[in-house]
Amino acid sequence: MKKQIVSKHKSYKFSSENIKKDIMRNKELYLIMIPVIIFYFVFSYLPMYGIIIAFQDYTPAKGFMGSEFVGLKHFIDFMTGNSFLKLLRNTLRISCANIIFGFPMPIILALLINEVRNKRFKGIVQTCTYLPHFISIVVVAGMIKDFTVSTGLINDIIAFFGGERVTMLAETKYFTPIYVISGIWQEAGWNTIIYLAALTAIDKALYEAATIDGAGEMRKMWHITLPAILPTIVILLIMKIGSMLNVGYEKIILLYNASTRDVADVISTYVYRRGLQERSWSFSTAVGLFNSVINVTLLILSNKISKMINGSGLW
Amino acid sequence: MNERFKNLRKKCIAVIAIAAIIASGSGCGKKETAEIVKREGKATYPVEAETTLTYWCPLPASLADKVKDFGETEFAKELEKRTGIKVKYIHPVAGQESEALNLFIASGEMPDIIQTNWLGQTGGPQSFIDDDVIIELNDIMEKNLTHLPAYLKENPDLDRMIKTDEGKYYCFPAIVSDELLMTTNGFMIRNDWLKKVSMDVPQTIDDWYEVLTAFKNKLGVESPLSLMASQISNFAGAYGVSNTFYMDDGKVKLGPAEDGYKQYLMTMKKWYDEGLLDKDFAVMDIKQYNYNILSERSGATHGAGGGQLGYFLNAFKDSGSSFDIKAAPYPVLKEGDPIEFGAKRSKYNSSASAAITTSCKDPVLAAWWLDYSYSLEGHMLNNFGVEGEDYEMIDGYPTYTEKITNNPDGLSIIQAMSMNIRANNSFPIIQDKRYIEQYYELPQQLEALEIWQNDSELHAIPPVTYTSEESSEYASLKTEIDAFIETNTLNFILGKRSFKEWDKYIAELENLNYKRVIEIIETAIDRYSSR
Amino acid sequence: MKIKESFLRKLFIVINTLLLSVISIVMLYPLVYVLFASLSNSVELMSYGGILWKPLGFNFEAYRSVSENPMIASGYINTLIIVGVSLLLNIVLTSIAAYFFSRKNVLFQKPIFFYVIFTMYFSGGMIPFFLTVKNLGLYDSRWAVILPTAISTYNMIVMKTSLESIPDSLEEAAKIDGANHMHILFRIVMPLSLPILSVMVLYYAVAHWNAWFNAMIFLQDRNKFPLQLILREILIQNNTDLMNQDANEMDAQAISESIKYAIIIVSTLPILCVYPFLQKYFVKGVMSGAVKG
Repeated sequence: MKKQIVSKHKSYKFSSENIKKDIMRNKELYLIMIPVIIFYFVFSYLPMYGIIIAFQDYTPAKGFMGSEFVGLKHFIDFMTGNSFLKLLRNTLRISCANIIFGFPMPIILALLINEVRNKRFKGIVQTCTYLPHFISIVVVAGMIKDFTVSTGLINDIIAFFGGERVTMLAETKYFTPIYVISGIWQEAGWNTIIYLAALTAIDKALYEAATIDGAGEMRKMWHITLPAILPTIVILLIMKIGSMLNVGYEKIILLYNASTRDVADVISTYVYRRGLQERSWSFSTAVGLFNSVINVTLLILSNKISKMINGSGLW
Repeated sequence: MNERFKNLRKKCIAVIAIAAIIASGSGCGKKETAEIVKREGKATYPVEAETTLTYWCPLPASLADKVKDFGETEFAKELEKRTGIKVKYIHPVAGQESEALNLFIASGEMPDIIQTNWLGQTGGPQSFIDDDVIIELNDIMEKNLTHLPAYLKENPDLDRMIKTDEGKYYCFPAIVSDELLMTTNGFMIRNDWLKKVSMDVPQTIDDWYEVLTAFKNKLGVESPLSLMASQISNFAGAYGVSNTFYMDDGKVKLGPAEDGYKQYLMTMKKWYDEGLLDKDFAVMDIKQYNYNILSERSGATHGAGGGQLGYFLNAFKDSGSSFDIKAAPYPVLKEGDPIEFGAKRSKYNSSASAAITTSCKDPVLAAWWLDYSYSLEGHMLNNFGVEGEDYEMIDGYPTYTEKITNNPDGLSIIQAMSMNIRANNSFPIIQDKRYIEQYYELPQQLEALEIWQNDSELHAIPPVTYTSEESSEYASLKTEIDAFIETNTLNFILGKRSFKEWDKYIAELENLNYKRVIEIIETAIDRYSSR
Repeated sequence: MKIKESFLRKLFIVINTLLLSVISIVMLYPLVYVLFASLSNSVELMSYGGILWKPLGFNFEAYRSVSENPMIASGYINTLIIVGVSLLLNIVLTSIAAYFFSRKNVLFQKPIFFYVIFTMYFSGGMIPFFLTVKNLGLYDSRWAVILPTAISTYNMIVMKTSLESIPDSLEEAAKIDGANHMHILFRIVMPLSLPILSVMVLYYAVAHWNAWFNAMIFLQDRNKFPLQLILREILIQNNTDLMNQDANEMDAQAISESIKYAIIIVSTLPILCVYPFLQKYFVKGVMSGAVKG
């Protein structure tokens, strides 16, 4: 066991002497960590036996021991199903659009807010922008519908400029943009919070020094502000990429309809729908496992890339 | 130092040991066989019993902001008094019923009685009996019950519906006792507008087209017909098809694979293109739908007699507006054709079947409690409440008092009913038509019940049950078929798919193996008929 | 040159202010809409489409109705208990874990980090989770809602990243003074990390405030239901999409639109007030002060 680890992490050298030294040095650190380790063990590792139902035809009545083993049947079912490619494509498209357009927005917003000198205005802007986060998605979806129907506000604007009114949510081409933009609208302000917190950590003296050196605002932003929040950006981005296949079902279900299903149906909505009709615990666990494996792969990849580019990563 | 390390190791081992114990406990979360209370003979109410039963059912929506649980209602208190049996009501959170149900089954610790759609669960009722989730009631029915068996004896067709293929009774059913109660949904149209354009209530598809066009052209109505995407199919019946599997001359057919469906789609496309059907119907939700009627953007729709028809009429009641909306029959193709399709409930409303679980320690008591609903007294209580308080007998007709119809505490009629009776919600009782005759206060609503009558039971698939294997195959095929049909129905109507592709569409549908689904249903029907 | 730059700077400030004002208004609107809707007459609200500029048929009817709902008061108390106890647990455990992972030269750090991060991706699913919690004897107890969410791995990682930027020199100095890790963590690191701590408080508080799923599966007694569960129940009630109801079978309309919105206001306002309170910690330059002292 020990040897394996040694071979994997050469830099660590888990020799017994090192372990002793380490324990001596950090015993207290390990001690205070015990509750955390227990927490993960009890609430995450203990229930993990449930993963086996991905390989079973599980029914609650027969239980985890009694249900019949079917091997990879559910994985094969899922991956050879009529809609697998479509689902994967849709999931990735929505996810990528979310990352490309949604991820930078809070950063830009945070930088803009950071430039505001008037404290009261700053406070008001922060408060207003984070409000939409608190409105239940059920209500937000209702508002999105109100705005995008053929008589809604957005169509009023389009019609004002001579365009033709369309039921936007019934058009496949508008689905992803509506999904992403409404996501930005709802979450961008909330997501600035972490960046704003990171920005406070910047030593004001750095700016003063830069001003004395004659640096302009742009250069200060580029050379002082951005590097200060870069570690946060990188970590959040890695984690975001590492959850690429997880597009929540609720908002999609509230926004899609039969005519946009071809572009809107993602893995989670598919599982939700099948789950409702079939009680397919095994199937959804198998799909969840599939998602996890892909996500972890993406996580490891993006962490590697991040380490190659700027030398730091999640671990 | 070594000492310390050992200590740490000991602690770790202790933690892991504790964890392992917890894990082993959770691994086999199966129930032990509990002491079952034996009771002999039949009930005389009130029964003397110490046990408090637990009853799991959805909390009626109209009570969600009034009480914490159903036990707080006056009805529940009266029922407890009359039966002598204490019941604790447990409610799932709206929208999460199936999760809650599965957790009960998985953990093996269930409420004593579970009210849900047992028939619709994957696997069907028999598999739940086989898996020791619910108990079969044959024995109890025979030895301990009076009222339900008596009712079933008088209604052999119902008797067949609530048994499994193997002849086991599994539930206490919700029974819709009268034709009038079976069709509470249908089309409705603005009566005052009909008068303005001097036309009659439309009967045929062509009538509808003329009326809607007149609304649009003569009255300048923006979108005369408002329907949600799932309601459009109510027009398909005119073409002799349904939008899903249905019976036709003893054969099972899939509506969207028939020619009639194509004609229906073409008609709808025409209506949509001409702006008769709301442009936003594909995304319409209940809010938008209500908005269209209340803001007079639309003059015709489909909905329920209480929740829509009554709601619309009441909304304009005091405004002095000429707003009047009335029911229209399910359309047919040619005048005088029989109406063979439409929304209609079956006599056995499977969505509210109460079954006694294997966790119940006193099944006979639970059965007695449930059986009370089928007695005459129980029936009156369920439908009308307490005599002298909630209703008075006037000329042999149980008439609601002001407490229900004009509640002194400011409750609406739905809320007052939910507080005092059970007939207006889904429960395992026998619904009495005299309840709806009074619940529908307005003449337009009462008239609607007659107008919406149809013979859709001719095409209804009986409440069959599937075997476990059939059930999962059926469900997974049907999920995909339903999604495909829904999408393509819209695409044809919206013009995103041309009717030139009809043959291709049919081929795609065949690819989804709907014929296998038909086979499964037909075998199940064979078993059903030989029950 | 100088003049040109300061002109550009001013232009930027003007544009920035305008832009942020517009963004603020757009983002403020949903809440304003909900507020107006909650003060409107239900029928008028239903027959009105588009943007709400003012309450329609201004009245407090919906709020009166909400105040009569017996679930709201108990929901408030439950939510407050859950949020309070959870926060305490969250902050302590998350700080410990983040501190642990941000230290240098800890041999088992990496394996333990993988042990933790693995759980972000793999879980046994709902039923085993349910059974585990139930076997701990937590079913139908508020602890079932509090304990399983004692640490959010995501938040912990965010905090760890932030703690890594605290200079080691401080820790070294404290060690020389004979301080132990608990002392360093709670007396030196945490006070230096007020911005990230306030983010953690905010993240956790809001997450607990909005959480309903665990409460749904673990709580049976409606007297223990948190506010969000009640809110959700009422919001979902007539929603055919999420209820999987057949629209042909609908006969509801029991809860009026304006009551829904009133409940949203009642259940969100308190948590909205947390942020302005925490905001002051974001504005201060904590680090610069610390280095001096």
